[in-house]
Amino acid sequence: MNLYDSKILLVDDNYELSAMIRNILRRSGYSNVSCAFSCEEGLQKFCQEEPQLVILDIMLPDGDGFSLFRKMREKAETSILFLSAKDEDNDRLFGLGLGADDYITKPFLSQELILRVGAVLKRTYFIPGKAAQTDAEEEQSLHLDGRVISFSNASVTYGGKTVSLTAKELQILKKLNENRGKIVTFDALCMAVWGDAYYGYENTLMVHIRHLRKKIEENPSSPKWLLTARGLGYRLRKDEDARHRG
Amino acid sequence: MKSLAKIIRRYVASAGVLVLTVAFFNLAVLYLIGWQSVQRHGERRLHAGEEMEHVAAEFSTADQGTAEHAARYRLSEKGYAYLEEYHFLWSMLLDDGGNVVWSWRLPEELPRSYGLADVAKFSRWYLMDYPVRVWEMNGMLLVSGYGKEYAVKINLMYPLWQIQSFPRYLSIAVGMNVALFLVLALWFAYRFYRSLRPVCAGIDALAEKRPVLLPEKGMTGELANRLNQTSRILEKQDRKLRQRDDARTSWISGVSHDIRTPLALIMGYSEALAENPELGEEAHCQAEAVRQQSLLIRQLIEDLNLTSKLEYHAQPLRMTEYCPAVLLRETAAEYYNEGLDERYEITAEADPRTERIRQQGDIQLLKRALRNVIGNSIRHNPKGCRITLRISEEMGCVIWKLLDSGPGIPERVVDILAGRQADNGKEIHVMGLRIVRQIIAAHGGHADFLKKEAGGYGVELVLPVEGEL
Repeated sequence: MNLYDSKILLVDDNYELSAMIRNILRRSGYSNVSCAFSCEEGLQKFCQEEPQLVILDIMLPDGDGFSLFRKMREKAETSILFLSAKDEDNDRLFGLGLGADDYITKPFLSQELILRVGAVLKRTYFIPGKAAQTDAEEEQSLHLDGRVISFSNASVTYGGKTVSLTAKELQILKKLNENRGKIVTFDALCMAVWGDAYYGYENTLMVHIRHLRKKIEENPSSPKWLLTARGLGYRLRKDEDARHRG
Repeated sequence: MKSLAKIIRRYVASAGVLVLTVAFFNLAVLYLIGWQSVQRHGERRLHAGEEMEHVAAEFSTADQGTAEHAARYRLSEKGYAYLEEYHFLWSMLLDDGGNVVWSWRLPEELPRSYGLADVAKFSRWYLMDYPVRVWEMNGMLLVSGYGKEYAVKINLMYPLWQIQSFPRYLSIAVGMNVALFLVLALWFAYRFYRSLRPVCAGIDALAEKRPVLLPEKGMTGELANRLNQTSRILEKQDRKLRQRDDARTSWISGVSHDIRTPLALIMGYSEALAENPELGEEAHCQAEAVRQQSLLIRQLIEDLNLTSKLEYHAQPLRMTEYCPAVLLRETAAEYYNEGLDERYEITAEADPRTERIRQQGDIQLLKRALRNVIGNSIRHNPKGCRITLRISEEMGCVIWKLLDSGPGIPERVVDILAGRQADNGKEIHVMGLRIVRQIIAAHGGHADFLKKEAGGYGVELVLPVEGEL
């Protein structure tokens, strides 16, 4: 099944907003969207249509979204995303605490809604399948110019020779690769590698990065891939062309 | 205990002053009475001996050859005048045989001759109820009598040991008086202190906004009653104020809630219009402007909601332990990871000492404060700028300095936030910075403005490592 074939049920008492959200979803490719305007109608359609995702408002004319959420979850483990005008931290925490997959506050950007809906659907229905497998394969190797880094073998292969990565170097590279293109702070790196705060690891981290650069960079003194964000952390440069899709 | 010592000192001092004043007053009154009585009688009271001496001095022996006693002793006119003046009723002169040799107005009932026993009796007491004075004059006795109701005679005789031990008795009496006086002063002072104690506790409780209910008895009953009344009034006012604050906060929260759904529609449709390929360039620009403004309204609603909650302490703080240096790097990195425009550069400088500091705080709120300041720099420098975030540790506080290479915060905004200028709400929006101040204040610190060398202001946030500033 395609991601965009997923059945989405929208429960919101505001007709105009429902129409707008349906349009936004349709424009992004989600063709199977139905609307309900009360708790009763919502539960009825939930049972009939068995959607993959429910977008649920909290304040409904005949009850609140939290109770409806509980009733729906009693029937099926469907992904549910709250969409509410209630922006109190307490409501947000309560909603997420109930086990909701996400909580979006109104007003929202269309793109944000699309991204979150897509993320929830992918996470719930598409990761254990083929797509996840592809991701895993993608993750297992990394191509930087002529160098191939294998995460499973903890090695870097270039020019016919293979250099192995130490456990710490591998952990650092993995963390950077998980957040490729983004700055990973010293603190996040230390937490991932040593499970500890940055204080006391400043030099150790620097030494590991230097060793890592020697292995993955053509010119370690002027790195192309493993970049320093001064005072903040390190970043593994994103270069879609250089990535090998296996 | 300090106040007890003070009260006792005061009590003893005032009791001392009281005693001295009363003693002085009594002496003064006695003196005045004596002086007035002298004035009324028109004479100076003479010593008994002096009166008789005056009279005796006026006697003369007129004729040595005369056998008649009466003729032999004569009193001058002045002598008679003395007798009158000294209020004597009668007078007589006895020879060594006890016979009257001279007399003046001697009453008929009085004998004309006296034995030793008679003399001994009247010289100490009365002569037939007349109080008399006796004066020895050349071997003879001058006896002068007052009216029967004129005077009282008192004879005093004390054993010598009694007189000798008088100073000792006197000092014991004085000592006991002083001791009694001190004990009484202490006792009253303690009683006063004891009765004041609940009142003081009540005033303390009022100052700390705690309800007060004191027993309305004893010396300070009325005072306690007033304090109880005041407490009730304050409590009522506090309740009303709280109700008003709650109403205001829930009103703002309600309004912001109600605006959200229509705003979601405006944003959604403006986005759809901005991306609609069938519309012209101008329509796209207009739709984009509507979208941008909607985003601004969304930000304002969130700010308004947060500022009102912070102002009335309705915003719960989710305190967790954090390291300021980590927060600094995280905040700066987030900007880059969100796709910071290349025109901007954020540098983060953490003093190595801050790496070890752990503070308590609501990280989301603190991040919000930092983002408000950084966001301001980005918004007000459309051509790009360099933003410096610096933290250091000074005297138990973490100091955050947030500066940009642009013109900085204008002086007017600083004046408005410092309350030196009124916010007319038309030209300048200071809500973002106000929220920064509120968030920092909620963490026990304070936000200041730093004058930059190139003009304008940067922001300095001071957060105590522990407790409050």
